[in-house]
Amino acid sequence: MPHEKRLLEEGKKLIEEFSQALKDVPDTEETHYVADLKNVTRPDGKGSCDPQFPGKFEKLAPKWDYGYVKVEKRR
Amino acid sequence: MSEHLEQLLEKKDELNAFIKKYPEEARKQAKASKGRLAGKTLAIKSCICVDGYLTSCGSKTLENYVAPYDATVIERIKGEGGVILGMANMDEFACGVSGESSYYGPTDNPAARGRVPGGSSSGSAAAVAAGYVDMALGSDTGGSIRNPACHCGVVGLKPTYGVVSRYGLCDMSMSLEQIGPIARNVKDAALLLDVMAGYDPKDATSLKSEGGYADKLDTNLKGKKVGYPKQFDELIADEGIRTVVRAALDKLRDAGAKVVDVELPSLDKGIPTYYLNVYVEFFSATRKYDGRRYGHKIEDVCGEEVLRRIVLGSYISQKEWQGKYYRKALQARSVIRSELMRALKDVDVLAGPVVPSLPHKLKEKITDPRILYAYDMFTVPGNLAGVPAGSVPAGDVNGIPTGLQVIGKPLEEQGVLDVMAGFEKLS
Repeated sequence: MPHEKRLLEEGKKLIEEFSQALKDVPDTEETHYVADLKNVTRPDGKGSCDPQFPGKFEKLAPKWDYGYVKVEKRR
Repeated sequence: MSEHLEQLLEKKDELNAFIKKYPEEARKQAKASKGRLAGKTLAIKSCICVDGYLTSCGSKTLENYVAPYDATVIERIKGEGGVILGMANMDEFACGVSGESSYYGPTDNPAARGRVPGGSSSGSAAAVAAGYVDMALGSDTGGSIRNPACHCGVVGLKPTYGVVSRYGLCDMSMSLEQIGPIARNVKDAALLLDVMAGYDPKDATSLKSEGGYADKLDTNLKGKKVGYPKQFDELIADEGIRTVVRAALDKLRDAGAKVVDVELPSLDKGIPTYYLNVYVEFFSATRKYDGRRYGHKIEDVCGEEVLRRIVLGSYISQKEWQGKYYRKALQARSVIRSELMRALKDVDVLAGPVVPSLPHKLKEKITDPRILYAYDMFTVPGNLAGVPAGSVPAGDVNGIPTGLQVIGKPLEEQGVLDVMAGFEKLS
């Protein structure tokens, strides 16, 4: 936590410097993405699934207990 | 192939270019290798999912993450007979320009030992330059392919945003990054791009592209119009790099290209624009690393630069009601993008430096982020505008390689690769 505090305090100065550097930028349209985001529809058909995928995916969960994924309680 | 592969597998990784090698899997792939990449060996940046391989992003956060599926680019590479030797080292979560911030230790530069290889695709460029592999995959958010390619004396290309699918790429800044090739020559880079490029319904930003880059390579520079922004010249910090870049422009002129002056007046706004964008997008992208679904909680185990970006991304997001930071950066992005398009309007490509200074020494601990961020000065405009840009070796400064950056119009990868190949032929 003290580490995060130091980075935040140092970083605020950096952000202000960046903000100052952009202060003369005129109010104009914003560029979020250079390519248009599209709604994609896939052709109808039978879905496919790697039968080993669920097993591989389950292995990535941090801990298992009695068939349930065990996670730390929200802080 | 098998003899060549065994020789490569026997090479000791003195550079720490790989996080993990997969010799048995590579042997199996080599036996069945058929297609346009038959016999070609590859290293994959550790933020691109390869089924069954450690995809750690160079971070302790994902030290146990074994990807359960192949990224689209990996499916395509495997489908064309590419042989994957292993997962390359990288700056932690691609948050770096030097290759020093990996949880798995820094990578050395094979072309200038004892100096940083550049980043964040540090291991990919180092592995190619050292001859550990024929080609590699990197990802480029603000220069992460071009910067290490430049420092290590190899070829790297960041394609137009959308040309290569990002499905299966662990994202850092989703509106800016692209996967691209790193190779020892332009022909191989073009070939790898051919294999990877093309529409993918799994990526909502995917574009249809022409392809066929390697077969269509044209090295004739006669009549090509090359723009050189004078702001590039003003912001180069190293005199040696300036000399190499000017000599490169002379070579292009001698080969029949016409080099003309163009303007990028807001080039100095590139770094603030880029980082204000990246902090916010990175903060958002890392919220899934909460330690509940997989891996460790990122804030508990990550390095300083990753934590800085998370902390500042969170701060900017909270303050954004003022519209002072992120919104302003998005507006600045529009300005930089339109200036770059204007500069490209009457020329075939722009050319200039990749980096303003030479790679620093590995033991030199740089703690001020401003110094490290400055390496990105000439590469971020390409990402902010989403245009294709490549780095090709241009010479050296006291034995340290440096590159020429070639920037093109959206979807004109062919034009960029042609100029890069034409220039490569002159060297």
